[in-house]
Amino acid sequence: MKHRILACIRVCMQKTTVRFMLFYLVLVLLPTVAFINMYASNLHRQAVNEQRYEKQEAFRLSAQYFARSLEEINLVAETLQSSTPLLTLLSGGYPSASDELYAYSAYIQPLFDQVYSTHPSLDALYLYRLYPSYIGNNGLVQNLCDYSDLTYPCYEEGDSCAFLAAAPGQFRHRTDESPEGARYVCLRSLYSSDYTQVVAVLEMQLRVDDILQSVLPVNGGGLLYLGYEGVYYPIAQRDAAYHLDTEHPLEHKPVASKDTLLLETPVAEMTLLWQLPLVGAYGEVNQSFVLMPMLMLVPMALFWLYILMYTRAISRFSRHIHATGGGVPQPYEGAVREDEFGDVIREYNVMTRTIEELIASVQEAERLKNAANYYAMTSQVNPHFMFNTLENIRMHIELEKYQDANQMLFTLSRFLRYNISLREESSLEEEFEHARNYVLIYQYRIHHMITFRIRRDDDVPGIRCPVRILQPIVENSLKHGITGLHDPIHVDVHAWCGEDGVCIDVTDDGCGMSDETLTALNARLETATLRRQDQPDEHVGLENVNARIKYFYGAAYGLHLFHAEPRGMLCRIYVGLQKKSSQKGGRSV
Amino acid sequence: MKRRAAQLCRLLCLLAVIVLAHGAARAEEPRVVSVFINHPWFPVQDFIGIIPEEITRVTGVTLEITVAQDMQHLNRLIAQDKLPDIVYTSTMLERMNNPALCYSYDELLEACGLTWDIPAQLRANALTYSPDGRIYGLLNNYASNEDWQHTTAVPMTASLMIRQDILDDMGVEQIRTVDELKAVYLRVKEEYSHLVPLTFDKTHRFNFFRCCFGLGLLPFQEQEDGTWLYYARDERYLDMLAWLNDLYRAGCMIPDSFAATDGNSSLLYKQDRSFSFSSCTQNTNLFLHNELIQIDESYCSVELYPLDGACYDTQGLGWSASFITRNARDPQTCMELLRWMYSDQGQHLTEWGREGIDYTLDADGLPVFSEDVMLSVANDTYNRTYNPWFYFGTSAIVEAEGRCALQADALSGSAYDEIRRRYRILPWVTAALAQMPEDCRLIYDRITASIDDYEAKIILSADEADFQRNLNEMLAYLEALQVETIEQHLSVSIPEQYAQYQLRMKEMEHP
Repeated sequence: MKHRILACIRVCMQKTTVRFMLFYLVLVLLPTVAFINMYASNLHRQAVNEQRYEKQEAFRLSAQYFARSLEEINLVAETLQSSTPLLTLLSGGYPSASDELYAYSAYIQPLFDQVYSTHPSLDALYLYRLYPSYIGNNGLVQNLCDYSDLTYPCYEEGDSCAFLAAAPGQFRHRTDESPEGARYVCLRSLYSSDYTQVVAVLEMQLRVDDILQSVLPVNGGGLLYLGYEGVYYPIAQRDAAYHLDTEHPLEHKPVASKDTLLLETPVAEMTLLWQLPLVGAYGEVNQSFVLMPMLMLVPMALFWLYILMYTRAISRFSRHIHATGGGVPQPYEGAVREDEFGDVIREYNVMTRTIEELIASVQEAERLKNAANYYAMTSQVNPHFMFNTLENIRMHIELEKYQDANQMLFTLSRFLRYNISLREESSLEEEFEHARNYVLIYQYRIHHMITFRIRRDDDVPGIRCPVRILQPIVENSLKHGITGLHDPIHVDVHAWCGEDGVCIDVTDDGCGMSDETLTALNARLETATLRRQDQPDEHVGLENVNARIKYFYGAAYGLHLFHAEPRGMLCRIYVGLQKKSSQKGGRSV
Repeated sequence: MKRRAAQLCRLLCLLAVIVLAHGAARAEEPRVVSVFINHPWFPVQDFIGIIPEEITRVTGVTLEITVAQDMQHLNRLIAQDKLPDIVYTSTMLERMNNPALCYSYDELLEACGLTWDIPAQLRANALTYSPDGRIYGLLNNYASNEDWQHTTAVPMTASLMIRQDILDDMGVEQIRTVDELKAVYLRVKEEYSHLVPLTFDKTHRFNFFRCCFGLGLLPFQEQEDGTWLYYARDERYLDMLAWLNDLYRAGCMIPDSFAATDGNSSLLYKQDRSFSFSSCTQNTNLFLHNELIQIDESYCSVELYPLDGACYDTQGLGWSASFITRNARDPQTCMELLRWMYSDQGQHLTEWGREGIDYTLDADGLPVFSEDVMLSVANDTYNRTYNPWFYFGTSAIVEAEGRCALQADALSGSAYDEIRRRYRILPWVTAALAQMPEDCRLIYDRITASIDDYEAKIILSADEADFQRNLNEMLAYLEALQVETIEQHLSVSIPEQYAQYQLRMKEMEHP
């Protein structure tokens, strides 16, 4: 299995697309993801730190604003303390009801209106008088009350106090439709103009919800609490407005955890807490980091698709080359793009054409070379044959047998003319005549009894054949058939029509040859090629004829030897009816 | 060719349908008219509720409301040239009657091709403030003396809420004179120590007693010799102050009432801590009675029958006028809206609600409100649910008939009939005041700004000497401000205005 996997990987690694993918994955994708992850983590960490710092700063400022809003009470108290008409009224200083009423209408009531308008979070303001006055005894004047109405237990005479009144019953509620919600109640003493005596106790009620709304950041997130005397009231956000939830207080202080950050700031007698979530923000970012590589796989897949499409032409080209195997490279005929790959394929096609031309030129050279050998072989004449013939002619002249000499010269000249001609082809008639001339010369030369007969069946067509194919066979019969100096020999040439050609049987009644020699010789003739002249052999003439016939007509034709009856040899020359159409690619020749 | 023509026709039809559909969709969107309401006390800030929705459905107009922050708000808008489409105001009528600020109704009707036969009385009332004989603002809450004789409703005027159950407890069957009333107050003070005998609101204060002492509600009083005196110099007013001071000194009034605001002035009365409450006929008693019976079902508040000799003379030109400003984005829509609001349908809808749903008309043509409306009144949710505050063109009669229809007959009783019988409108006095020269106006404004303080000071006098001293101080103040100058001017101009008003009415009735 392991080997299969390794083999599979090895095969895959040989693919250009896979290499590209690995290149993209290792050199581009992974470093990019790693870099982005690291960079974004740093950025996020930095942003979280800054955000945390900003939130802490915003929270600190909010707490400051909260405290300042509570301190507005001091401004209210100072404003009222500095109003002489009010202090006069509270100390019972006006001589008549009309004077007091006028002071109230002209100065005090406008002063109250001004205080309410300049401190929007101020919900109620009561003055508990220690001295009687003409107005403010019957509830028609809201701001003036009797000291006996002051029932807050935390207040001690001459002192000041402040507390968070979370429940409605914990503070004096205005009779009109003032909104619900917790109040921050502060009680202060108001003194007479000369600060010698307390003339009233001032009660100021601030709406906590209004203060929260004005000081806290709207989009702070997290959980806010307002703690007072060990109880922590959640600050809920409803309709983009803060609201102190007095119905669900926490008995224990909220604690920080690994997921939250707890900010705490004291505000007057209270504590403002902010429980900030941390993990949520990190978690979201980490999720995005996990998603990031997955998102990058999409471009990777697209990249793979692109590479696949881009290398498809190369793959096809590669398959074409593999299909050629070890043979001659063939031109690529598929689509060729106008890019570097296209250039390679075009150059390949040029190369294949060049190779083809080179092969053709080599074959032509071989053919020319074979032709030269052929010519050389066909024109070979045994020098001893020539010297003996010429010597016989001279002897006949010496003996004054001029007629015989003349006849011999005539025959020799006809023989030589045919023998040295540059023709490649000849006819059967001319071959028969050439063989007959050779036999005559041979008889003149050795004075031997030779019976030479040529027969031709009537149905044998007049075919074209390589030149000088019959004379060497006849020469071979005479050369190897004659056993004794005076033994006659009969050589019979018979041309008859075969299945796909013409057979010329050359039969002698000479000594013949053994079966082994016959078999070996036939085997050589089956695979015989043209032999050069410098390769001397006993049966070189037969082999050369055989080779030339095969070259001329094809491998199915040639020579074959048989035992003749009752003795001697039969050499069958099998030639075609016409010459082979093309002699190119003659590797088998 | 025919095929192409048919295709072209189809295309044009499609385009026409799209355009018409778009136009229809636009038509469904209400047109917006901005209105400035120059009444800082206005109880609603938005044009929402059953009646506003119905107004929008009928007229296709919705209102963008801006309520004045204070009495200088309109001045600021004029100075900044930021007037909205319509200004609805009961003050600064002289200033708004200005062609540079507002369209004249006649001009706009002609320009828009609208027809509206403005009633003669409305036209006459509007011309009282006109500098050039053109109508710039039509007043609502208008009615003639004759109109009041043909209705069972009561006009908006001074009234005294009184505890009928206390009276019954004391065995008082009726109160006919101020002396009898004073005696009742003293008895209440004596016998019902937890009750303050007399409380009052900031707006109407002692108007009821002015009527009882024969002064009426006019700022100037005609004397036997035909001259006109400022009411604070009239003997009847001085008698009233002495009468009230006696009550105060007897403990029948408390200074707190003078310091109370309109919002909480009725607090003692509806908490069963006051015997009577001086206010007006505008359903005040209805709401107070509903509050009282929440404490004890046996409690009953009624409006006191007018005393013998009571006078209910008033200026009576109307109350608030609607002006179409030169800044109006769509003056024609504004004019069509106001024309509809002054129509019978507009008046009934804006004042009473939807006919057949919120009210039906009885045999006399008076509204009978549905149980839902009556329930919302009892629960004090009527204003919030129905919002009947956009009665820009409602006459005083329609307003009064609707108001009275909300009350049980037992509460109003025959008091309303007597008030209506004695109610008398003198619009020429208003016309004379409106056309006072500038120096007289300045004097008048200064007197008006301080007279209430003097009144309070006199009534709250601790003893007779103090009373006399304070009274003399007020008279000296009035003399110092040269109130005689106004009196002399009005002694001439009021009879002239009376003559002109009569002539104008004749011309309009018989053009």
